[in-house]
Amino acid sequence: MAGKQPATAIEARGISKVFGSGQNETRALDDVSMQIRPNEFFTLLGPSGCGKTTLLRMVAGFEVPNSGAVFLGDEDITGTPPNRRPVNTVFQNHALFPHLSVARNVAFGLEMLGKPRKEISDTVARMLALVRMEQFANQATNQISKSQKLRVALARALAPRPEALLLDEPLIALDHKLRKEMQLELKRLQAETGIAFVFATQDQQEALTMSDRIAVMNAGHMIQIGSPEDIYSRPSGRFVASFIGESNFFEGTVQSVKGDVADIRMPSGHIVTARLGAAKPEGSVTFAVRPEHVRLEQFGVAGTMPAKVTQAVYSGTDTHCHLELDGGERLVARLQNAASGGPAYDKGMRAGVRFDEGAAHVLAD
Amino acid sequence: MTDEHPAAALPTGKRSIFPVKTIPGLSAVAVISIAVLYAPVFALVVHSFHAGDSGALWQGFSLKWYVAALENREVREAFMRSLTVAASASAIATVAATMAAVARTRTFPGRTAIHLLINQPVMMPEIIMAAALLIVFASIKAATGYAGLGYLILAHAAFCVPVAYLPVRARLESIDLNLEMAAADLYATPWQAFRRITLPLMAPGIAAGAILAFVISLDDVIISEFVKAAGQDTLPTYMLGQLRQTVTPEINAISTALIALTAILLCIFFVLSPTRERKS
Amino acid sequence: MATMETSASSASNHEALANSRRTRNSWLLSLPAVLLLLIGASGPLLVLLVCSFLEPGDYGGVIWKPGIEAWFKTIFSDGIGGDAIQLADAHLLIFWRSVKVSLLTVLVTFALGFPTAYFIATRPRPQRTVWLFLITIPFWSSLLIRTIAILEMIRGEGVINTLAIWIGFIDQPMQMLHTEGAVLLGMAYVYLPLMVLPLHASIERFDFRLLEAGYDLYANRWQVFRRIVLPLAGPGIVAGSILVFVSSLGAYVTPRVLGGDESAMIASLIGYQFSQAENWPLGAALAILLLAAVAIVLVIFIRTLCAERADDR
Repeated sequence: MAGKQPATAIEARGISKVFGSGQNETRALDDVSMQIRPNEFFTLLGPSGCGKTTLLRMVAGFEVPNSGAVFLGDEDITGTPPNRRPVNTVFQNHALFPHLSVARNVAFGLEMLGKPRKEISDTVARMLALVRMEQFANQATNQISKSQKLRVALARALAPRPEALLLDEPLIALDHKLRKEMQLELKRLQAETGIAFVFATQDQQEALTMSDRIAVMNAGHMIQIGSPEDIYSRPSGRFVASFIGESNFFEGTVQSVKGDVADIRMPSGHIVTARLGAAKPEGSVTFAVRPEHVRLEQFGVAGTMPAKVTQAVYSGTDTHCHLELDGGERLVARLQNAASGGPAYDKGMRAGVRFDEGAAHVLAD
Repeated sequence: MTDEHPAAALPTGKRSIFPVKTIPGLSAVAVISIAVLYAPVFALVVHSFHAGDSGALWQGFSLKWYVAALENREVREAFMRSLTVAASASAIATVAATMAAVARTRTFPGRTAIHLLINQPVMMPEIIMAAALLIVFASIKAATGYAGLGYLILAHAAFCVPVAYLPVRARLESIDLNLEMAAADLYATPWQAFRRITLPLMAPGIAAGAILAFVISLDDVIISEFVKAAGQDTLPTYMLGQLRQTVTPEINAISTALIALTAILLCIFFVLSPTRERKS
Repeated sequence: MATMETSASSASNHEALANSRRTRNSWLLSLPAVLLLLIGASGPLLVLLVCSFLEPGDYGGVIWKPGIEAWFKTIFSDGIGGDAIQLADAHLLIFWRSVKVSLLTVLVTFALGFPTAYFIATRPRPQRTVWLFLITIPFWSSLLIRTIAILEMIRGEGVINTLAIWIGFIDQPMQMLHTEGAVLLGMAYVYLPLMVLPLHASIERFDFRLLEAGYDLYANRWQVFRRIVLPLAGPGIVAGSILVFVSSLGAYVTPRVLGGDESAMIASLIGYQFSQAENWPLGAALAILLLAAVAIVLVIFIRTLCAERADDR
């Protein structure tokens, strides 16, 4: 291997893809670009049908874009068939070969590459050890559990040491507990192998906990790419703010700008200080506040906005307080429950509402 | 994964309070119908072991009609001819049908036309095909002078294509298309992916198709009757010819042997066929 | 910017190339089957059509002289004098008989087949497979042998006569063979599985909770059967009836073995033109006529099926 590593493992440049024609035409991807660095855990996050699977299939070589190009390092691989791309996929249903044993499944890619027999058996053993499936080597693939199938699929895709591993919602069929377990497992595998993982999921929690970077997609568009922290606390727009976590949205007009923050007047007359980020600092804007950043105080405390509790929903760790500000805006506050006793607020009570400092964030769109 | 019907999942063995599915009288008719379906064949089989000549009154057990059939040179020749034709025709048809089935997993222009063409022999009465083939082969015979078994084999191969196509296609449809993609993803060329993944998974379907085609060819009467040259009787056309004369239990013995062969082959076919349960 | 443009055009090139290669490969793969069927099935049909417009040879075969005499003769026959034209009574009678016997076969197979299909479809899963297997075996096995089995039952010295005489119902064997009734019996027998299988396929898909709903809304058993079960089985009933009707209309073996000259059907008539009568063009014309009849029935069937599908959505 050359000592110099390219800055990007995989790059997609201006990819567009249209399926069907005439009335059935659907634009699956519209001018989508992304750059994936070597050795990073990169997540494509979006609702089903947002185009993330299509994008993955393009990187894998199963789809050809109508326009745009896919690069592996510096090499344009747009038209390269999948069997000549050093990129491997973990399929959503795992696609294990039903007529081959676990070990033969893992060996398949190496056999196709014409590796010597010794190397194949060594690699297979190492891969099975990596995913902790050594004792299942000779099992048939229909005799193992769902999470074991996923482990085999991972071993199979990692065995040829691809430049990047593509994972198309591989955890979707697992129940909650196994899912958590496999999330950690995937994280560990990525760290141990140092291979770039491109992981598609609809689950924002999964994306936030696992990723180095997240690309949020919707309706064939790339909406925002950034670190989990970026995406969560500095969402670029309404879609990201509501798809990842929950948000209260408020309309308002910019009163004054001080560096990175602005004072915004809401229609009810209350004034809120909000971070501007990339948003334009003028006119009417939308800003978002996470429910966990809303504080409730006694009614009438200075610096709070008077409000009425319209509903209080108890959910174990938290209570969700639905509030209506005097003046009309509605919002939700998430309050952690105290060790003793029930919720501190109940329907009909009056309270003062305050936002944590830096909690309000002006959206760019 | 179970597509078991919710209602069917009820313990029908234990009497539920109100048997919703039961419609009075239907079960009796059903059991009688199925019995009636088998009774004549059963009688025919029994009769083939009959020591008597023609009457149905039981006169004792004997294998003499089997011996008579075996010693009959015409029967032996017709049987060998039937086997030759069925084996060749089903082999040709299965290969062609398998290739067409593989092609049809991909969408391409003309797909529907090929599908219609393949199923064409199924949709029309055999007598029409028989008449058409008689005319065509008569002119070829006149032009080339060739009068061998080739005509029979070609005609049988043609009507066996849709028969072999059916189970091959069903099997192919039950194979996850992702598997071929996974193979391609793991550096297999299209040919390697087919050879190492699709073909082994298809194998039971191909075998099932070949068996079914063999059975259908073996049992064919009408097309063989019209296409065969003089002295080219297959077993079924020989039997049909014999029926014009007085029926002896020899025909029953031949029938029983054919039934046994067919039944065995069909059992193998059912074991190999994809189960209906897996529709996901 | 320049790289962007080239990559865009190369992308669509890749796609076009992949598509055309796929199309070519698919056609190549289909080629053996296509050739086989063109030579062994579809092509001969065209020849049949051509043949029907030629003149018959003296000893079978055709003379390459165009004419529509064959088509004329399907319905009309020359009078005894040679100049008077009259309807070919024999042909019309055979057409009529074919349709009549086929319709009756549909009725009989439905009367027996519906209960059978319903019974099988309502068995629990493992049992159901066995019952279905019992229907499928005859479906795939030899029509000739199954016809011979019926022949064995009804011939003069056959099982039924022997049994009846032995019990003392009758003194002399009944003449059952070579009657229209014998043909009907034989056809109903051999085509019963053809009715049961599509019926079963549609009944198996029932949501039996609909029956519960029917009972819940005060329907009695007959009303549930009449208003819920039968309509739901509609597509299966249509499919089974068409299959049986089309097969019966073209039946050759069963009428030939069980029927006499007085109960000949259209397929026997076609066969006769190619053997004893040695009038190939007439045989071809009759075959085309049969094909047209079958095609019309099938088109009606497909229309009905499409309408049902459209209703589902």
